[in-house]
Amino acid sequence: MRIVGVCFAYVFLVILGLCSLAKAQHVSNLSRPYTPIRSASTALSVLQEITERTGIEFSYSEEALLQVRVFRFSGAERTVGAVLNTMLAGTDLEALERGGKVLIIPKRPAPSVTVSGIVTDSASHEVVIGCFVSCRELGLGTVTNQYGFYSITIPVGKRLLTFNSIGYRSDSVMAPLSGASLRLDRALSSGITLSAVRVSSSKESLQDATVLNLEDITRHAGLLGENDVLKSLQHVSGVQSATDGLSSLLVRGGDPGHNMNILDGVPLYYTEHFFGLTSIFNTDAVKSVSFYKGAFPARYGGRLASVTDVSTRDGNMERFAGTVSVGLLKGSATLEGPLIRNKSSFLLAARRTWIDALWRPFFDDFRLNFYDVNGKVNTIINKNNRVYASFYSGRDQFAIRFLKTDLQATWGNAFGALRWATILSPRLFVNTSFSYSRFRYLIRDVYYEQTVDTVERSVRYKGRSTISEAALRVQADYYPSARLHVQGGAVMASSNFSPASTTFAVQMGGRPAGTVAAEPFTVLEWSVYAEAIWDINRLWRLRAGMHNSMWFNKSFRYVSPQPRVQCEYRFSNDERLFLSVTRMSQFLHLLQDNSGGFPSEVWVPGAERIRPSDSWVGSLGYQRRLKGDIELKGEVYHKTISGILAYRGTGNIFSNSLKWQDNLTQGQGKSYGLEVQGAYTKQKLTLQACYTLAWALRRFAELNQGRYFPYRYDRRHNFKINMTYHPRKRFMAIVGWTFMSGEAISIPSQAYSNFQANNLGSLSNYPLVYYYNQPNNYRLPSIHRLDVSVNFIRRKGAHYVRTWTFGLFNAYGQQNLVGVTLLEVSPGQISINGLSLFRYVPVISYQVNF
Amino acid sequence: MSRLGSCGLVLLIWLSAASCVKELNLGTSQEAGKLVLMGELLAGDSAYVRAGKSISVSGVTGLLPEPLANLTVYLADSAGSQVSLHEESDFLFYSLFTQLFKNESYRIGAGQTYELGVAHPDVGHVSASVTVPEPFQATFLGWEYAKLGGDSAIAVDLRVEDPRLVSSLYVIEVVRESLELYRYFRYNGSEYSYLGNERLLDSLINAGLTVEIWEDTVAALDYNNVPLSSTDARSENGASGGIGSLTRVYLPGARCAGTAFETRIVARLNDLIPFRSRLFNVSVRIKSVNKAYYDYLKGLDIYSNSIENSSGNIIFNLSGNVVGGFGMVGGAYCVRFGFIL
Repeated sequence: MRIVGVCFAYVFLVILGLCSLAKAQHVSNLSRPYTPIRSASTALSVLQEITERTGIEFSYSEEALLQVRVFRFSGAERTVGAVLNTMLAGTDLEALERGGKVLIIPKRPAPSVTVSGIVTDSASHEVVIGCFVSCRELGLGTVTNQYGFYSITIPVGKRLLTFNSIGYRSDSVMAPLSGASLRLDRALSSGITLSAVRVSSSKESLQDATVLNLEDITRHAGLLGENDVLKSLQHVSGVQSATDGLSSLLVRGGDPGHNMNILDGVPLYYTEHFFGLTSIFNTDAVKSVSFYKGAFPARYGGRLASVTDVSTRDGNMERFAGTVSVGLLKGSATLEGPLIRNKSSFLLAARRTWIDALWRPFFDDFRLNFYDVNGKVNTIINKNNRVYASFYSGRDQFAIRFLKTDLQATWGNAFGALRWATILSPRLFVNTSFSYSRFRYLIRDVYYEQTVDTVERSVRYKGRSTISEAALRVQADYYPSARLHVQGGAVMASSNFSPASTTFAVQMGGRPAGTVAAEPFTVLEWSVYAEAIWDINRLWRLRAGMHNSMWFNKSFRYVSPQPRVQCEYRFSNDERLFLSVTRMSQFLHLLQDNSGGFPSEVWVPGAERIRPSDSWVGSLGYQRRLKGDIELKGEVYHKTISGILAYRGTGNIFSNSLKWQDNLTQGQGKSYGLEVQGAYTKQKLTLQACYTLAWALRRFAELNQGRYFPYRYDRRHNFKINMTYHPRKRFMAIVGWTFMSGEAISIPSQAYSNFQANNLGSLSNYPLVYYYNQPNNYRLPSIHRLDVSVNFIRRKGAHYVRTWTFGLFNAYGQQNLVGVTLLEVSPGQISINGLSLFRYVPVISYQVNF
Repeated sequence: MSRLGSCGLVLLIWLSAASCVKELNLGTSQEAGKLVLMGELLAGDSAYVRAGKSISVSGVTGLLPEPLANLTVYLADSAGSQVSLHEESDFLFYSLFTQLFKNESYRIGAGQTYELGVAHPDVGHVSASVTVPEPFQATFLGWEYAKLGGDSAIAVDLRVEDPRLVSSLYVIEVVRESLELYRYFRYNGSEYSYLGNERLLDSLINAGLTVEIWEDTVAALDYNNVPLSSTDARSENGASGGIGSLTRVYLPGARCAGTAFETRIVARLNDLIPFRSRLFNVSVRIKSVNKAYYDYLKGLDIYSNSIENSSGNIIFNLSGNVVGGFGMVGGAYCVRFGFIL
C-alpha cells in the first residue's frame, strides 16, 4: 500500500514537473523576441507569419478572428506577446498558452459594474430621450429610454463615459468604476445641433426608428404654415400622404387606419384636425417622436403599418416659460413651469381655429372648427421614482343648417393617464401606467314634421359610434449586461364599443319612437410581450421578441402571436446590413365611408364576423455613413396584409345599425418596394432626400373576380428633397420639392340602361348604370410642388425668441389635384374634372417663446 | 382680431382664386359590349322583359346603340317547358336602348323558378334564374297629409300579413305617373277644348247657358319612384343616404315579429305634385321579392346614380342575376293600391 502511495506521489510530482516545464515553455513562447515585418496587416496573416518565422503554433477560431479589424503596429512591439496584444486590442479575445500552443480565445469575464442614471436637460430638467451613452474604449453603449433612464454594465476600471444626444453638447465623464454599481445622473447642455435629419447612429437605427425632435418638425414648410408631426414624417422614405398637403399618413401600402398613433403612451384613434390640414399633435408640446415603419419592437402592437410614438414635454422645472403662436388657420398657447422648483412641473398647451370667427358673427349656420388641449404634470418623488399625470382632449366640429334640416357632426379623442416610472435596481426599470381614453363620433340630422291633427314635433335622427378604453400597462427594462437588454411587459385593456347606434326621437301617428342600436359590447385585450436586444459580438446584433395579443369577450376570441425578429451585421461603426421579419395584428378597423359624405371615418372593432387584420413585413436594408457627413440608407420590403375591412360598395354602418357587420367586407393586400434616403449636413446647410419605388395592391372576393387590383394610393414613385440653410442665428431658409405619382381611381368601362326605367317602361330620364371592369383602373396626373419659407428670428435676453415665418406653399402653382369628379356629358360619354386647391398658398406665422 | 380677420379674408379669397378645375383626358374603352337583360317576373302577370347591349364608355363622344337584329329570348319553367318571348317594337328603345320581348299568353306562377335566356349570333348568350315568391296579403289602412322636414307630405299606413313573414323580404315603393288634365265642353253639338276657347266658355256661362263640361286625363308614361322616408326602425332605410333619399322602404320580414306587421311610409308632396296643372296617378306597391332582387334594388337605390362620387371609393358593380351579361330579372309577388292626387 505504501509502495502504491509512493508511486502515486511520484507520478503526481512528474506530472506537476511536466506542467511546470510546459508553463515555462509557454511563458517563453509569448516572450520570444519577434518584430513584425509589415506595419499593418490582418490577424490571420500575422499568425501565419509568426508560425513561419518562430515555429509557434496557434489555436484559434477563424470566426472569432473576424472581430479583429485591420490594425497597425506602433513599431514598439518586440515580442510575440506584444504583437498579439496590439492585434487583439479592443476585441473580446486574448492570447493564452496551453500545451505548447498559443490559444486565441475569448477573454475571461472581468468583474463588472452597472452604471445607471437619468439624463436630463440642464436648463429645464426635462429628461432626454434617446441619448446615446457609451464607453468607447470598450465599444459598448446604450440609449436612454422614454424616461431618460439608462443602464450599462461594464468592467471595472477607470472608464470614460460619453453622453451624446441630438441638440445637446456632448458630455463625457471619467468614472472610476469599482464595487457593484454606480448611479450617474447627467444634465446635458443644449447648444450644438448635430444633425437635423438623420438616418441615425448605428445604435439608434437598429430599431429602425426615425426620431424627430421639435427642431426637425419645424424644418418642413407646411400648408398654411402648419408645422406638423405627421407632415414631417411624410419626408421619410416609404411614407406618403393620401391627399397632397394634408397630414394623413400612408405607410408601405397600408391604409390610413393602419397607423398606430401614441401620445404619452396612450393610443389615439383620430389623428387629424380640420380634415387633415394639421394633426392632433400640438407641435409646441412635443418633445420627441419615434416613428417605425418596419422591424417593430415587441412592445408595440395593434396596428399594421406604422407606429408614431409621441412624447410631450414634461414642463420646465426651473422657470415659467411659454409659447404663443398665430398662423393662418389657428392660434395656440403653451404655458409651462415649476409647481415645486426642481421637483414638480406642469405643461398646458391649447389650440383652436380662429378662421371660423370670420363668418360666425354674420352667419352661424356653418361651423367648421377644432380645438385641442394637452396637459401634463410630473413630480419627482425621489431619485428612483417619478409620477406623471397627463390628459388630452380634442374635438372637431362640422355643422350646416339648411332650410329646416340641421346636419351636425362632431368627433374627437380624449384621454387621461397616470404613469409611474421607477428604478427598482440599477439594472431594472419599470414603468406602470393606467389610462382611460374615449373616441366619439356623432352625426346628427334634425328635421321637423307634422301631422294634420298634431302639433309640430321635431324628429331627430342620430348616428353615434363610440369607443372607450381603460388600460393598465406595465413594462420592465432589464439590462443584465452591456450587450443584452431585455424588455418585457403586459397590457390589460377593457374597451367598450358602440359601433353604430341610430335614434329616431319621435314618430308620427302615435307609433313608438325608437333607437336602433348595435348592442354595445365590451372586449378585453390582453397582451404580453418580451424582447431581447443582444449584441452578440462586434459584428452581429440580434433583436428577437414576441408580442402575443388576445382579443376576446364571451362571443369571440382571437389570439395573435406576433414574432418580431431583426438581425444586423455591422461591417464597421458606419456601415451595416440589416434584415427583419415581423408580424403585426390589428383588432380595430378604420372604415372610410364611400358615400361621399363627410366626416367619413368610423372605427369598428373586430367582432364575431369581423376577424382581425394581420400583416407580415420583411425588409432587407443597408446603411452607410460616408465621410463628409453623408448618410445613406436603402431598404427593400415586402408586406402582405389580410383582413382589410371595407364597405361593400358605398354606404355606411348606420344604414343598418342592427346588422352593421353585414355592410362590411374583408379583403387582402400586398405591397413591396425599394426605399432610399440620404442626408448631407455641412455647417449651415442640411440636405435631405428620399425616394420610394412602391407597389400596393388589394384583393376583395366581390371585386375584380377576386383578383388583385391597384390600391387607390398605389403611387409608383415618391420623391422628396428638403434643404435647410441657416447662415446666421436670425435667419433660416427652407426649400422643399415633392414629387408623387398620381393616385389610381375607378373609371367605368361599360354602360347600360337603368333597370328601373326598363322595369317601369318609363319615359323619364333615368341615368345609365355604369360598370367598372377593374377597380382603380385610371391614373391621375403626378403631383409635384415647390415649397419655400424663411424664418426671421429675434432673440432678446436668455429666453425671449420671436419668430416670423413667411413662405409660399406650391410656389410655382402646380395644379395638383385634391379630388376628382366624374360627369356624364351624354349617355356613355363622361368627363373627369380634377379639383386643384392649394396653389401659391401663403405661409405666415408668428411665434413668441418666452 | 379685425386685423386677423382681414388676413383670413384675404386668405380665403386667395385660396378661392388659386383653386381651379382641370379637365383630364379620358380615351374610349376598348371592351366589347355585352348582352343586357332586365325585367321583373310578377306572379300572375304575363312574361315581359327588355333586352339589349351595353355600350362602351368614352371620354370623346356619346355612343347611341343600334337595335340588335336576330335577338332571341326564351323562358323555361322548372318543369322544363319553354316558351319564346317575342320582340315588339316600341318607342322606348331610343330612351332605354333596350328592346321589348313579351309573351302575353304565358302567366308567371307564384313559388315557381324560371330560367330566362337571351342569345345573339354575334354578341353571345346570357341567362338568368328567377324564383318568384309565394303570395301574401296586404291591406291599405289609409293615408293622410303630414309634414316631412318642414315640407308637406303624405303618410301611407299599410298592414302586411304573411305566414312566411320571417323568411320574406319586403320592398315598398310608391310609383307616380303624371296625368295631363284636359277639359272639354260641348256647345251646339260640337266639342271644344278648354284650351284656346276660354273666352267662349266664359261667355256661355255668363249668358246663363248650361254647358256640359268634362275632363279627361292622358297618361304621360313618365313613371317614377317617389323618394320615401320611413320612421319604422325595423326598416333598413335609417340614415342611409339621408332621410327621404331612398326610393323604396326595405323591410326584412325577420325583423317583424309574428306573421303580420303595420308600417307607415312618408313621401313629400313636392315629389308628387310639382305642377298644379297635373294630376298624379299614385301607385303604392308592396312586393315580396327574392333575395337577389332585394339586394339588387337596394344597391340600385344607394349606388346607381352616384357616378360623381365613385372615383375615389371602392367601386360597386351592381351584380344582377344575369350570367354572362348585365342586368337583373327580379321575381316578385306584388300587392298594389292606387289613388289619384
